[in-house]
Amino acid sequence: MNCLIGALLFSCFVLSHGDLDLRILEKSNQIASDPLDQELYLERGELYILHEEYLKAKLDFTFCLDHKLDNIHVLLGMSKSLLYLNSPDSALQYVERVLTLEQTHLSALELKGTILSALGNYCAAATTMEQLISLAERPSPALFLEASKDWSSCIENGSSQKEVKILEDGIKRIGTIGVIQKQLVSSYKRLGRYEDAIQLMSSIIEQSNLKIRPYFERAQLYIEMHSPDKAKEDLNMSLSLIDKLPVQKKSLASIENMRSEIVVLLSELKK
Amino acid sequence: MKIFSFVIFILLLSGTSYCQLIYPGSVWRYYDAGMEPPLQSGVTWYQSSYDASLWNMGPAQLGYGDGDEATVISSATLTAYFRQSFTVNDVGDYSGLNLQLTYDDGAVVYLNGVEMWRVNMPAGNITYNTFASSSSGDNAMASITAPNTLVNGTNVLAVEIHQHAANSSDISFDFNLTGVPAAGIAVITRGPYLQRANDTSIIVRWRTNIASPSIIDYGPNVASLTSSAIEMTPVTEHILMIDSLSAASLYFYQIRNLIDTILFPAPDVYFKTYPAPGSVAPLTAWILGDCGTGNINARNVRNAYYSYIGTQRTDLMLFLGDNAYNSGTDAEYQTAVYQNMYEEKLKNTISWSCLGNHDGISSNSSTQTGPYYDMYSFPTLGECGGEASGTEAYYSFDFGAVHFIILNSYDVDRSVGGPMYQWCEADLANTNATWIIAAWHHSAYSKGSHDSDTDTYMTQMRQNFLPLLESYGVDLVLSGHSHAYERTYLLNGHYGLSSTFNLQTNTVGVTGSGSGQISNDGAYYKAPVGSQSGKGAVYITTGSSGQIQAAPLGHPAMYYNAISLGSCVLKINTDTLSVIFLRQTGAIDDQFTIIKNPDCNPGVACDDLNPCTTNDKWDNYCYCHGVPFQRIVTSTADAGPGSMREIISSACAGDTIRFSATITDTIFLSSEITIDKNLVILGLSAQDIVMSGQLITRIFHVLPLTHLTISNITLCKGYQFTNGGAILNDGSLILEHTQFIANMQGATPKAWTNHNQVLIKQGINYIRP
Repeated sequence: MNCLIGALLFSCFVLSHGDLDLRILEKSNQIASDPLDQELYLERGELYILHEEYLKAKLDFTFCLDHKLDNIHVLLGMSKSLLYLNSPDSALQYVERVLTLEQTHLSALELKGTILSALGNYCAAATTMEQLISLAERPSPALFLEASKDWSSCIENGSSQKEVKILEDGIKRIGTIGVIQKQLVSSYKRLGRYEDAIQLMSSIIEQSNLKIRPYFERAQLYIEMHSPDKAKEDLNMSLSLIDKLPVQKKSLASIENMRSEIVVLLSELKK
Repeated sequence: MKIFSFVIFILLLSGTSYCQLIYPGSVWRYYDAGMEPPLQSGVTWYQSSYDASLWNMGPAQLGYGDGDEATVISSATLTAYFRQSFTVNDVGDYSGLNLQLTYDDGAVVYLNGVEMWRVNMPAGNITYNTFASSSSGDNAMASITAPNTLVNGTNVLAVEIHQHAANSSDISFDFNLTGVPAAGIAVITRGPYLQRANDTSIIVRWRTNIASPSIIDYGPNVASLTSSAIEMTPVTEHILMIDSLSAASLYFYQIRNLIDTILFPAPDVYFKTYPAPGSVAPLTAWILGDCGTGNINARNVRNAYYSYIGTQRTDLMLFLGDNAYNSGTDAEYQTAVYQNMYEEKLKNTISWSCLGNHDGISSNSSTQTGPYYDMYSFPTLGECGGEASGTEAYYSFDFGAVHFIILNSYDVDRSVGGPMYQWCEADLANTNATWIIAAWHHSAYSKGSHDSDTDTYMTQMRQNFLPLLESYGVDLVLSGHSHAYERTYLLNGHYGLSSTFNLQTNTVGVTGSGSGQISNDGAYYKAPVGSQSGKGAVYITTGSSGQIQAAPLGHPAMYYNAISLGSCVLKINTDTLSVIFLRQTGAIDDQFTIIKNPDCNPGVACDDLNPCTTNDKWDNYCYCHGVPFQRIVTSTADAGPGSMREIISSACAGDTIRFSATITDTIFLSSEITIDKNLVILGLSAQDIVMSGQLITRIFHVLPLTHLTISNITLCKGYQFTNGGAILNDGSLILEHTQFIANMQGATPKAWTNHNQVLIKQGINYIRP
């Protein structure tokens, strides 16, 4: 019976789809039979990246390059490996080669943006991310946030406006997405544009179903703007909304924590 | 057999007009009795009107001897016979047929009673004893394109497989039959499948071989499709939104273009809108994890569910990622999901998914490109309830009073404060749903084929998202990634390594460290109000819907785990949530229930329906329970109210019997007291409780499988001629500070008679007469 169970488990193990270590092993066996097939090294290199074994990946891509296989996949794989091996300078060279072959390669643009950011070249990173955003049919909110963050770290003239504009573009393009709006409020604050921040928070309050946290966040803005009365008004509104919550929601740890935060702020404002 | 027959039933029921007519791995009737099937009133076995209903049935590959068969047939037969029926609505859709045969050693193929193909067989008349022309080798394959000789309605494909010699060691058979679409004829090559449903709208998607307009006619019954949704732009990838629908309403539909109906109406071609947000409605959901193998394992898991659910409706299918191995390409999705897999359910059940690591090889969440994002339509702007995320990588939706949150554990930022985290927090804050269910691919707790102590994705999801989800009262978290089934207790507050798990402090409520099974030690209870409000969630890793993998298992947070193929069925009904783990065999290997009592008010009286408890109250976890009654002997009488006999009779198993301070005299018995439930009889050393059999009776008889503990009691003058003494023990007896005085068996002093087990703890004193 033990043999049967062992055979069953072994067959499941061998026949299982998709586990990277098994696929890497299978690829290595193929390479052992055909050690000059560069495509096999490319495939294994890509598996090593998925398995987060970047040094081994780099070795495989190096073999490809040494044997004149330098297509987009090899170059991209090499670039990723080098980035994860903390060699962003070298990584940049390879991803640039990809973009020379295909200017609008989305993954390469995204990778380039990440590499430039890692190099502290925020202005170029932001420009690259904006290029990616313009080419992508359906860019995610994260890309807009990333681009804005890069602009905020860029010290060129006009970068502050670009930091804000890319987020405003994001809202126009993909909708009133909370994380973009919140980042925009944060950018407005950072740039001292408090009126714009308040206006946006007010619009967030209007569009939200549950307004407890938006009122709370606007109150924090008012506190920064030294408008304690308006802050108190918003905090009290938050509290009253908490009291109106269904009883099962009111008792949740998160809501209780929020209530405590509000009460603490109110008591500080009274001083 | 029951599973297969039901699958055949639903395959025949559907009104489809697909290219695929017979799938590899599909179920066949077969005859392996060592002879040709007998004639039926002159009708030959391969003719359409032949009744093969008494033949055996099983999925391909059928055969014996190679060890790779899904159905093993008799090895004693020289020739095996196979039949399968399929329906064609419009033969004009096809210009020809593609036939692909897996065989060993030779075959003759008939369609609707006419021979259409002979493979490795001699010419001339073929009988049972005709051998194949040569040995074919194992799993030989052959294919041809043949003219379209289909008929509208039921068609029958019949195949006979012949050995090449009497001593041949194996037979193999499988078949793939597809129609070649006629020129200019659009046929459905994928779907339809249902997406992004809410209470007023739904998206229907399908793919055709050639570009055509998208037209859906729909209505309240099959014969009355009175409304239409139309998009005239010719496309091959059809995405049609139907809105202005009524909540929780059933609509049958058909699909057509300007020329043809390409999906005919049928009883199983329908969609049902979701209930209005917040409304109470029962939910049945089918949960599949890592199902993407496209092989017999996945089909067996599927068949088990189809058999289990029968004709009941499924409200949603939730795929937990790795839906298509190895890399989530479009072709792999076709094989693993849309063709010969879940298509029968997908056309009438809304499907949802989270991204797995294998899906993510071909797709990118930053740019929402790749097959995964191309084929699905998930909400991005809160269209189905929930907060707008701006991306299909993570999203949420409502089904009545149930809120589902789908996260991406693979290729988005998983950090606290990152975009997904912020969105999730806002989404949780904005929902008032009674039940909150979260799902993502990389499970938070597992010792399956991936270890949640060391896997980066799993660890980050556990450390970063569980505190957030638990603070908002998440009830159930579903994941895959590990190819096993693992299910936790009712947990709260465990975010570290498995070695730090504490069963006492990391489980919630009186029953939280138990099975969660009503028939066992009770359901899990979650308090909707009070100091423990919302605490407790069950975490399930169910990544074995297509494959299993050897693994150590044994995470301490698990109530149950097994390396077993299966899927989960989630049911919610008002205040009760239950999940079962359904094996590919149809067995239910695990189940649990979570109850949220809406009437609960912690500290207030309730009724636990247990006659053995009193002072029933809701505890802080909204579990109604009381304390055992105080059993106090107040009378020294042999029987009657307050007597030892009456108190023992009315006691519940596990009770402790004590004595009132008024008991100062001896309790005289005229007959023995039978102990038929586990009890403790607890005297006090200062009280000197004495029971006497008066030399006319034993005092106690402990029945088999029963435990009795006696402490600080004096038993005297117990008597029986045989099996005598104070006690006859057939169960388990524990004695502590007990005196035995002048107990007899006949004329012989004897304290007790033991037929099983006596444990003497301390302080036993024997005094002879």
